[in-house]
Amino acid sequence: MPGPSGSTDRTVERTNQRLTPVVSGVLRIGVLISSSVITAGVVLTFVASASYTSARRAVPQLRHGVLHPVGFHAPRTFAAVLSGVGHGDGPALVMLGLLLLIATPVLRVAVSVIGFAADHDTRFVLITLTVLVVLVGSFAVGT
Amino acid sequence: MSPVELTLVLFAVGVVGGWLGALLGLGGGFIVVPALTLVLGMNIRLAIGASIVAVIATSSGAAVAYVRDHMANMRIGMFLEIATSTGAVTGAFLGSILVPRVLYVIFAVALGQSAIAVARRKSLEHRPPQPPDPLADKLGLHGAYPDAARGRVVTYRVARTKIGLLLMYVAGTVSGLLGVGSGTLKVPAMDLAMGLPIKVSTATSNFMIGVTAAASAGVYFERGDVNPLISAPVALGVLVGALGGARLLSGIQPRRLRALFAIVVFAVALDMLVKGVT
Repeated sequence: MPGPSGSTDRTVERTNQRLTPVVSGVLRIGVLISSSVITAGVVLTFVASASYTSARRAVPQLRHGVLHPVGFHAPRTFAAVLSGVGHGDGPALVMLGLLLLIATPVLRVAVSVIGFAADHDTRFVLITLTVLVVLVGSFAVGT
Repeated sequence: MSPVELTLVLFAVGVVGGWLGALLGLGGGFIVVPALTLVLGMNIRLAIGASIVAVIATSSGAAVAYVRDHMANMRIGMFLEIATSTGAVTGAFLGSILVPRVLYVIFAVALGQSAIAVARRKSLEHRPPQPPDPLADKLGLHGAYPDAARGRVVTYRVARTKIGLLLMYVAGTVSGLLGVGSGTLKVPAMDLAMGLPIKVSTATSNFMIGVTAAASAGVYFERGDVNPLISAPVALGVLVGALGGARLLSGIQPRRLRALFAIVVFAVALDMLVKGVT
């Protein structure tokens, strides 16, 4: 079986040794922070909204996609989420946590670009950079 | 069902979806969407919004362990992400031109066939040797992973990287078009074309699907499809389930994993066929 070239072997070894714990760590931190914020938001929603917590039936309303305490609307923009969090709004805090969760894989790609650059792995710098550009571009097109 | 009860039910749905999704490399949408629409009677848009969040939660939650333990091959995953992410963008553009009905039928047939092929595939030891692949050598894609079921570290070589890349582009396009099935096609592409061990295929698929889902999550967020009080318990449940599922992968018998994958994907294919025909 023909083996890969020596230089590639060493590059792969570097990736495994150095980048693996960094990527795993970024994912872990992203998951921990986002799940903490989401949990805090859910607790805050129930504590702050007596009418929501004491409601007897949630399911019939769901057929129309409505589950919120009276007067609440899901924030759709980043600014609305932040302003809601500023006012101590539980659902807005949940949204912030969900956005942090969505950002975690993007951050993972960004960190990989830096990691491969530090290892002088030019091919994989270009590969991960391409993915990052497409990812950020899709956000820009979508919004 | 009161809001408190609903929150607990959604959490439980998330645990099951995350657990199975982490093992099979699928993200858990195949559990979350039917549970929310058919069982709880929710609007499909809210279910898909929650499902997108669930996919990202499964991916990130499971990948913490998969990357650390070398179950997922990061180099393969990142290289193939070029194809899946550009495919997803292509799919989003094609969505306005093509008829989804026809696509559902085509996709269902392709999915059903690949599910059978994955189930019938021989284990690594009983396969003919892989053809040489200069591109995989150049990119340093070959690897090794710890297999607790075999009690040793299993080394593997990657083949047909170009075909794998092409299939990943198709997988990305389909998921961009139909909003589903990103993992259901990724795993067969790695397993059947590139010749990866099934555990590395599901773990690497898991690693990748978060990026694919993140690319489309912004759109769902803007549309208001990501409902915080529905998505939150699902996401938290998925994280718990994914952490549990990820622990099991190394110890599971590869044959059982193949069978489980085939059953789940076959069910997904049937569901798509029904959607396309009715």
